Amino acid sequence: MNFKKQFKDGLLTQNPVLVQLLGMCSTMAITTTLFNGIGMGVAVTFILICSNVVISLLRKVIPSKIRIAAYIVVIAGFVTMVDLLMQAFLPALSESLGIFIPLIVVNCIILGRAEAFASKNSVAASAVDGICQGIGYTVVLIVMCVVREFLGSGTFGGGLLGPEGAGIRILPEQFPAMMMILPVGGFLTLGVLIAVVQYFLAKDKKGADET
Amino acid sequence: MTQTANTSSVSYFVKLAGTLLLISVVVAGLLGLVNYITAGRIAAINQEKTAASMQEVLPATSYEEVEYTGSDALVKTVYAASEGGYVVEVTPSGFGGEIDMVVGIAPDGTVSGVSIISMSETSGLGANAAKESFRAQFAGTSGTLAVSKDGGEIDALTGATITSRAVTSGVNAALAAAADLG
Repeated sequence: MNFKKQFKDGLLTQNPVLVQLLGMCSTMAITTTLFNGIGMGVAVTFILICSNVVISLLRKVIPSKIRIAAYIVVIAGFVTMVDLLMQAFLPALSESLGIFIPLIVVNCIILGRAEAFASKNSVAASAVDGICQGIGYTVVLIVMCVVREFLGSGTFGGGLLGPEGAGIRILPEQFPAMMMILPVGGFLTLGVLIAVVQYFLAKDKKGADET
Repeated sequence: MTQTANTSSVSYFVKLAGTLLLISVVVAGLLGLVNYITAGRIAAINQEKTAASMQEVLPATSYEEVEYTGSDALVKTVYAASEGGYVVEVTPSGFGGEIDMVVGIAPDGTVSGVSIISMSETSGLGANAAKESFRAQFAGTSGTLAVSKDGGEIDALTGATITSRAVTSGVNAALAAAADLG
């Protein structure tokens, strides 16, 4: 088990969103305010750790023919629990994320990590994988939120800071481009972000090959 | 590999179904437990939200649900306030689905307040409908309202006016419902 490598994989070289291109739907849909991004990131990370641990525990018990069905039952169970707990204890966040919480069930990151990692590795390594991949996902969400919120609403920290939780205003109200917080802005931001990260990853790799 | 040797045997299928059944039963049990813990709290939160909204739009010591006989599908429930007037819960459709809101109608038939219980409008745009500055425009109005783009008196939130029109149509439905009841 190599914690440092797993962490680097999750954050950068195997980042679930930017490199594996998983979980794009939620990434584009909810990254309009910082509060949403952090909330969604934490929810997915929590579910990812739980499902990775349970699936890793059961990896020798679940026959391979029904593994996908078994994974989905486990994941759906955790998602519903988080959904109910959030409604009960964090109603503001639950309202803001709405339908995207139940949709974590079909978020490819969780099923993808269950199939690619947890079903083949030890419980401890799977838990670490859940943490690292979850952090990678959360960081991307936060970056997307900050960029889109700044360009689209002209604020920072929406849902958390400022008057009425509307965020701290940076750009005067007439400047922000509204399209940045609409779906089209999600595609643009994510596309640019992926391009930038891929450029640096490729450069890094080339440099490493030459030396 | 014993597993590949007897993949077609009955016991293998029983094992497949049994494993899945066992996992499902355990998960269902846990979900039941979480639901048992949270159900009361969630119901209380929703009730509290509706009650707080009703107090905000038309303060009264008690509200009594009255039967709504009109045909407007936007009207969900009508409550008669103890000090006169009505609180009408309406659900017009906005950009991101239904907007659940309450409208207070004072005894003189004018709008006393508007409050949004829940909605899924675009954050930063339509979601601004929850802000005081937008909602305050409805207070004291009566008759049939329209957004300024349609020649009315309500200043819309955005150029597209989808949410603003939805909220306005909800207020209109509430006004009409209260007028029917007298």
